[in-house]
Amino acid sequence: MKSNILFILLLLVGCSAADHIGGNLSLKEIIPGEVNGWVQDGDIEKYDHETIFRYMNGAGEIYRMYDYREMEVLRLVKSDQSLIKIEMFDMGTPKDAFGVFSHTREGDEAGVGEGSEYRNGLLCFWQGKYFFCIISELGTEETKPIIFELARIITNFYEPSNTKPEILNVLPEESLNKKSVRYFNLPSSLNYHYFVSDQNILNLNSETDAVLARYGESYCYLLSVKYPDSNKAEKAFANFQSVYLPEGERLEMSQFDENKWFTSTLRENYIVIIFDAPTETFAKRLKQNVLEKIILK
Amino acid sequence: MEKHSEKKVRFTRRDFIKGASCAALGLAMGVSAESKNVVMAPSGTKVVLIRDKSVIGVDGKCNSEIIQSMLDQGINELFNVKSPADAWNVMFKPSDIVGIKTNVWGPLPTPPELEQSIKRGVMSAGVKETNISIDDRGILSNDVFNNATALINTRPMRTHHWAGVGGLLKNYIMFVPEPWTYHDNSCADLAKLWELPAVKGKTKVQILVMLTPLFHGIGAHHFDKEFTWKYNGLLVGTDPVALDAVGLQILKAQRLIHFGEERPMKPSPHHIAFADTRHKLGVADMSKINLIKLGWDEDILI
Repeated sequence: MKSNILFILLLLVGCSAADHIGGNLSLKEIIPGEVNGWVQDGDIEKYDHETIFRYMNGAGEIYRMYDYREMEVLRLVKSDQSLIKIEMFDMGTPKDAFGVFSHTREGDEAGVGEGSEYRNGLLCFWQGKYFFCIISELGTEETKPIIFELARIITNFYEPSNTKPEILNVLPEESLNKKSVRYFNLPSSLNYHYFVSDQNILNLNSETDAVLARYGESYCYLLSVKYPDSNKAEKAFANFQSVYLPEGERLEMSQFDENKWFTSTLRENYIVIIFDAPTETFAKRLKQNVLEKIILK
Repeated sequence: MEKHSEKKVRFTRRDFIKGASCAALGLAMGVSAESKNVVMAPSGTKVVLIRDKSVIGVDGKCNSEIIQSMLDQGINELFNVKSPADAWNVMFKPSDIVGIKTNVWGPLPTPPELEQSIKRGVMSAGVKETNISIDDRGILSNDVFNNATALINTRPMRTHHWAGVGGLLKNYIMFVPEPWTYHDNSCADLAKLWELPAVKGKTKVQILVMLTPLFHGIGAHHFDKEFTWKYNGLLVGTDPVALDAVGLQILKAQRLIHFGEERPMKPSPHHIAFADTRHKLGVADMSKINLIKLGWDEDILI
């Protein structure tokens, strides 16, 4: 009897971390009751796809552009210290967790989880299908050690996914601004980073994978979109051309403004567009490099 | 034929670049004429910029006497009167019920000192104190706002994660129970708010707070003191589109100084331009705005 109970207990303990790789987590089970004198303040709050606006007003749209499912908020307090909040977003899949992280990334890697950024009392990172923000209310540097300790507890609790969206592999390394890489599916994300049209002229949707990145010193953008099949890519490309490029301007390469070269192409089930390249040569070389990457795939 | 008409309602980046009539849209997106000087054309769209070097103390607090003086000067200039009481009397009658729509966003709220100066102005027109309310997130359940015969709109200017910038146009989003219904295309059609029965035709004066504007932000957790600066200004006017357009120009100028390059705003604050070109609410074209500058002119940026 005793051995049976022991077996069941071992089984439960053994499951606790490993099962969370693909399962659902709760901050209640991750964060101990007390961490270096910091204790939980109030209940953990939960917000779903609709109620997220109650917590963060319009900022909820950033998460809803991805496969956001639910978030939890846990508050920690310690006497004479500013309040710390942990926000845990279930993004549905690792690639969407990476996507929402890539949406706001500007600074240097902070070395936490599968990608992170720290700035003045705010640490954001992703691991597996979760995206986290740990925030010191007053943004003071004194809280930096506890913020990173909490992050360590979280990232040790479950395994990383070790995956990133496959479409990132089409980005050429040469002159890439790595902090500018944005992964997304929807036109609202594209327009957030680079306004193209108030209509969905590239037929972006949950089936498409898109990556936008800056190249060189200027604001030259490479957009690559992967469609489920070449037929859908062809239709999207035709629609984009008909709206974005008037007849007579559908050239291999166009100059729209001073130092702003444009080119677009269709290759298999990919559309590749280069906006605002500083020179024709730059645009040609970048396009050639990305097409080579697509062919290699 | 159908395709042709369909194409006409679409806006693309190319339209902004190509069309001279879309200059205001281009300015919103940073795709053209980024640093052209303002042309002082005679126009009904008058915006008063008033600055005072000492309005924000070393402790970061707003000086109530100075902000009162700035408001008085701005109101005098806007209404072309010698005494602010004359202007307040033009705007309000004693029987009015007045909602002062403020903004309480934690890191950068409308300063209480300014709110009180505005309230004193309204009271100087004979409006009862009980018929005046200063509110933001509770306006839909506020009796004064529900019965308001007149409104005043005031808030600080800042970059915004979903609308590009949060200014006077966006400040009225709390007049709807579900603000997210205005989120499409980076809040492109915020100007529709001004057609709501609770709002339409009621706003007598608008004050865009430019004391310590936020000129850059990163994602949803969008405040960092490093991206604010002491501009020490107020923009006073009656056209929310023109006021936001001027505020946007000042933010862009500060971004140029800070980043050393014309870094595009994310997302583009095109709701200001659309308020002009699509909704005809006001004027976003800087060449058609009559900007009057008063007070401290160092690093004025516009």
